[in-house]
Amino acid sequence: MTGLLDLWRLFRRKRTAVLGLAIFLAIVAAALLAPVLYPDDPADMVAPPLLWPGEDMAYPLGTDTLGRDIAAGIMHGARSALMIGGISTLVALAIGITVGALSGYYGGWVNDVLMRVTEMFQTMPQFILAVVLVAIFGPALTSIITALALVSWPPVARLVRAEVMSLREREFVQSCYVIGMSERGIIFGQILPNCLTPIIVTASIMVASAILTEAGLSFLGLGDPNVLTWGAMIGAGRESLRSAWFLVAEPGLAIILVVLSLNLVGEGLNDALNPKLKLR
Amino acid sequence: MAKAKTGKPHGGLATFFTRRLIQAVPVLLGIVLFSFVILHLAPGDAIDVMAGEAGTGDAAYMAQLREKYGLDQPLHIQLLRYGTQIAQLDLGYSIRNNAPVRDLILQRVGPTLLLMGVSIVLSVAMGVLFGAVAAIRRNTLIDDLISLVALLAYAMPIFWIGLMFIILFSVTLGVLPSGGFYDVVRQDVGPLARGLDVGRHLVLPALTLSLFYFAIYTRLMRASMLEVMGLDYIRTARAKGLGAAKVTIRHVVRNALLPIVTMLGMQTASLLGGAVVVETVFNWPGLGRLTYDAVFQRDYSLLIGILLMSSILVIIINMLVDLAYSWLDPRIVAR
Amino acid sequence: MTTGALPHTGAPPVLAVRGLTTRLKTRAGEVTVVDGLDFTVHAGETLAIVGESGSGKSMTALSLMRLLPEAVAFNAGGSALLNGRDLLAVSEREMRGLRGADISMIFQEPMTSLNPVMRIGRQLEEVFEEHKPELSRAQRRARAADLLKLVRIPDPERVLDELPHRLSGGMRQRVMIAMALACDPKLLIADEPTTALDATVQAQILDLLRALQAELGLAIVLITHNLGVVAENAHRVLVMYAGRKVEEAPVAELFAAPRHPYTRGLLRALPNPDAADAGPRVPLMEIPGIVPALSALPKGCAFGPRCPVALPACAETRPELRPVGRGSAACLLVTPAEALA
Repeated sequence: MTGLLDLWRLFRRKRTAVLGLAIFLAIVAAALLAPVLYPDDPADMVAPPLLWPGEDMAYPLGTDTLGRDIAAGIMHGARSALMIGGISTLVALAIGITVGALSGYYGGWVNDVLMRVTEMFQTMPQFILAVVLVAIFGPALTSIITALALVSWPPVARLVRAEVMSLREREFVQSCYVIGMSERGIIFGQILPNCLTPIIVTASIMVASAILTEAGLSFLGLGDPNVLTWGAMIGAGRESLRSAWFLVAEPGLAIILVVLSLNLVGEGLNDALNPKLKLR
Repeated sequence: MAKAKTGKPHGGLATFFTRRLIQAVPVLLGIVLFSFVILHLAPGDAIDVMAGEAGTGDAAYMAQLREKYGLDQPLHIQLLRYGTQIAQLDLGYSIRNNAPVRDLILQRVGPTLLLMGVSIVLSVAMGVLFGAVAAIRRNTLIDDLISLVALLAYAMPIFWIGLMFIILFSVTLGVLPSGGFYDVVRQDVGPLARGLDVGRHLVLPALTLSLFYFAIYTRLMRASMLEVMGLDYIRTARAKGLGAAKVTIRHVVRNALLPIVTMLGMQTASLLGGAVVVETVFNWPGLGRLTYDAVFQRDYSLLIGILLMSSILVIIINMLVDLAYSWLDPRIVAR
Repeated sequence: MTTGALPHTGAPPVLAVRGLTTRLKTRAGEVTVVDGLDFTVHAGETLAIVGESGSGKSMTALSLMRLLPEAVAFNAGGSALLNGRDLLAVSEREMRGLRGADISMIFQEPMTSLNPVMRIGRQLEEVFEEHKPELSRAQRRARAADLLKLVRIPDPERVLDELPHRLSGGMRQRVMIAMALACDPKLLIADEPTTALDATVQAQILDLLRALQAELGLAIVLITHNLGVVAENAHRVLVMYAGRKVEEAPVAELFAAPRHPYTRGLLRALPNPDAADAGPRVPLMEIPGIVPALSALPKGCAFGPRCPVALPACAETRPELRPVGRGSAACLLVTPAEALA
């Protein structure tokens, strides 16, 4: 508990980090409140089409070409963005940590093979790979999340590998050998908890980039047709770009806010967790 | 001894490229295997897709087609065939487009390379410039402004930037075309006029693609400059009596550029992915546009071909980046 | 060991520092890192400035070179006359003309003091470009080679084309010295020039500096925490504690009769080279405690809290420097009677 308190004390020293956290919490609140404030399906037609923002205060952000409430769409979109970004990051962390820990701990041929595989996934352009995977396996939530995870794990693997390689030589790990702990016990009980810091920082940035990638996929029409996403809203609004540009602008601003807030939080965590760098 | 050994690729350019290509073989083989696996995990094959869309379910005809394309063979035979094919730079045949995948890709690779090249130059140049200014004027209004712009640009979806640019520059101001490669209405123009026209069409896509990477390089350059400015050899340079401008340009910037080039290499794959999105926004006839069409035609062999080809592109561009690095940092011998 | 101060011929000093005061802006407020320092250095003379880390030695050097970043440090008084020109008062533009030409400096870390991606020759030639623009390219290179010869680097033509990482630490420090001497400076400030080097190389570099001083008549300010280095290389010694001068004396006198308890503590911490053949070894003494934070200096003598012979009065009154023997010391226990002795 004191660890968390200390972290918060360091974190709040940076105003931009606190601002980022505030924005992020507001978006989480919007996502949680969406079913309360807008209990109806946001895909329902509720008003005349193409109301401009502010034209009718019942629909503060306007309505789209089919008369759907954009405000409702944006709040429900926050749910899908956070969910897809969060789950795919968790999956990517699981893959990355496993690959990194195995390759860093065992070295030798295990490391060689796993590093070639990692390199492979870093060579294939991430976005093209995601497009290909979703196109082939169909635009459903599971394939989208799998695709996002598959393209984003390599940096985690490299990071964990480097940490594990340096940690395994440290005295406390060496002493685990001496007292006869099992290898699994050493990796999961001793080594991984010690590289949690950089993983946490990376994770916040990963959620942000997963949200960006997902938006790109839905924009191209590769989103799950049953899930309302910001990217899909922009894709649909694109058709009337010349006449009603707010259809594109508003969901875009929502994406920017969530990505920006996560980046600020990540930066703040990085500074708070690496006291050395703070002095600069 | 010093001159011959540093700064230049070990054993000449040809050896450098050959060695690097050989090193890339395991990764390429892995990607080929991976492509094969996802193709076969795909629900239904190309024949099913064709039959489904044509509405015909003639089993005999489908079996005949499968035999023709070797789809009836056991998996390992198919893999072997697939590997041999690719080794001969044959990326398969697009039944949809009725053309070899390789030819389809080669037709489109030029515009993508043009877009990527211009975007790399733009983003690095602007990023280095703005990052350096922010570092020199750190904790001033200029620094705050630059950092804010970089922070925002770093959070914007690329396609959204493109759409906003279209609204601003094409729809509202009407100064730049909103898409396409050149003006198809204007025929019979000379090569110079055509080149200028392509250039005009390139402005918005290139700006769009650069903005995100500009943000990365600006932030990195600022941090890198601040780090280098505190190093001992910068103090030495000042102790020699050099003025601030010379110290900055000769000693700080050159060393601060090294991480930028490293980052550039790491971003190649991501940049190519970004180009795909930008091309669909601006109707730019490159690989991205081709990918988009392939997705909606469910042309799997074309999609896989694009994935393979873009990986090879990434490998080649990374070699060029490494060459640039060894030129900037003579301690490194490009291998 | 050098015996005592040089017999001055009455020539004015190369550098005369009066009341040098440097303040640093920190998060906790401003602190005085160099406090009213006075000293002089003559041509052909080496003045050693000694003290523990944090005593203000390096700050003194960087203040004289005006190399401290303006955003965090500023000069808060005093003058530093280099051949009559006040280094602290000239414009930045004039200062640039002096730096590397009339007053040069070498640093502690030869491994990191050279630009890693620039060839040695280019780094040397840069000094000429700045201060002797009339030289042609070929002349600059020839002079750079001469400089490397001057600092006894074998095969200078080859070394000119090397990158720093291909040279050893000792070689790099020679290059730094060559660079510092490029425009025949009057004064060389050497900030812990051998601390990062191993013992043999250390001796070679110090020998080189002594030889060059004899050849060129250099005035040297040698900053070090190593009293062994002081004994063999300095003519006079200035001891600093918490930003102030606590004692100054010709080297022989300082070693023979240290007046300030802090100086005595430093000397006790010095391994005795004769101990091996002088019977049982005496254990090395460390001065207990640490240098106080400059933001929280005691009211009286800054060394008081660590001083083994402190009197109650030491906590109340800050001692002034008083002349003692051929030097001076700032301690209440130093009596005028002793000064007469």
